[in-house]
Amino acid sequence: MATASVHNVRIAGISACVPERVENNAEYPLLSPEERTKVIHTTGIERRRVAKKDQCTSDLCVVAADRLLNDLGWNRDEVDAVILVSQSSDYTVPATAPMLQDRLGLPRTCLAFDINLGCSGYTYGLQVLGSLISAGHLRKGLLLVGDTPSKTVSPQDRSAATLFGDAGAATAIEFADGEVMHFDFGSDGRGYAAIMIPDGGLRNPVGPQSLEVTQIDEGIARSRCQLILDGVEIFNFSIREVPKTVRSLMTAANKGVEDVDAFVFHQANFFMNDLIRKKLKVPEEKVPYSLREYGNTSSASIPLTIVAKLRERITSDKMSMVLSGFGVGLSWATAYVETDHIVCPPVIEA
Amino acid sequence: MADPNSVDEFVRNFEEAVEGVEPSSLNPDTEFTSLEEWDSLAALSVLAMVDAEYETEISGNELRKAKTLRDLFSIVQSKKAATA
Repeated sequence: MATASVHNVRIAGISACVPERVENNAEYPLLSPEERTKVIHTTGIERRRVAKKDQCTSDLCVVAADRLLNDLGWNRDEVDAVILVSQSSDYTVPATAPMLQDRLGLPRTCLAFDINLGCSGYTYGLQVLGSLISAGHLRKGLLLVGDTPSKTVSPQDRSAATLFGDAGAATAIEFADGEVMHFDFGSDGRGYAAIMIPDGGLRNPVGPQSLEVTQIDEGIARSRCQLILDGVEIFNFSIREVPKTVRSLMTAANKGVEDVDAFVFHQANFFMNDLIRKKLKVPEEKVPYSLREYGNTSSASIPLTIVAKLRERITSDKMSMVLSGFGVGLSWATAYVETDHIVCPPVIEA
Repeated sequence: MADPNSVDEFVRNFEEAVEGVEPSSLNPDTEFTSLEEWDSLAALSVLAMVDAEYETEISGNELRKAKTLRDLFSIVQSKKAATA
């Protein structure tokens, strides 16, 4: 398992944007009223945001990044890098990040690329962008993360449809002498099929059969272009790996639970996340959730939770946080970061 | 003291883990998938119990193949033996 420290970088600000449209799990038609109550209680998810038909992840990220750049007062010409972590790109080709350079009015000297990761993507992105800036040649960068699972999850799949919400987020990172972030990360490709969209890549190109909706099980109908979620595998993986990665990160960073103000986990579901919290013996009040309002928002879940639940504190005080992303890949990354009065506008709707 | 490695103790742990199941209502030959209380959330509760009490895991495939609580317990035991 790899741990790494990234020196001389700091988070300057975080913002998040969600679509205006709300879907309520209490109205989900493929479950009985009793089942809905049970699902809401267990997953902790009451509502989810759903993007408009023509609204992409990049659009949500642009709104979040525009606001963040304005609030920071950064001169856009000074932004040296923009990275998008997403599994819902605008096109198969080209990558989305170069278009974001243009849309955000960033200079043509800007480095721009996409990273294809989901639930673990925020902390991976922090590590990648942090490392680029740490070297000292790039001074300021934007990490954009997000997904629109509503476009790839079958509404007729009751094993997944009530879980996911759409969101985009932006994090501004800059060179700062003496600051340090710690990371622990890993991958387990044996579990690649646990969360996947089988068709549409070049291994299984789209054909007429890809769009056929098949009844897989009671209450589960989907096509091969829609997301498969193997709850049992993900559950086993998460309760096995997440406590381990958090512990090894905290050992590497030489921090105890008492040194950390907040543990922000990828928002998978309450039942599983709370089990992870108990295994790590972290008190409830140190673990914020945005699940109730926004569901599982993939790579955006950690920054969205920070903006939605920690904004007051993170803008007015110093904070130390453990951030842990885990899931699709299978992949995980955990970060220890300290912030000091960062810029953090309220959650934006678009 | 109950023997933690007995199938009866496993049945008791199962009863405790799955919401709605009465204590002492099941036995090793109970076909758990036919229980009224058995659903995907019950499955996750059992996985959490297996993790906490037996420090091992049951895969999705194994869970689908198992019929009785005795089957589940054998999987847990063989997994534990393999990692011991």
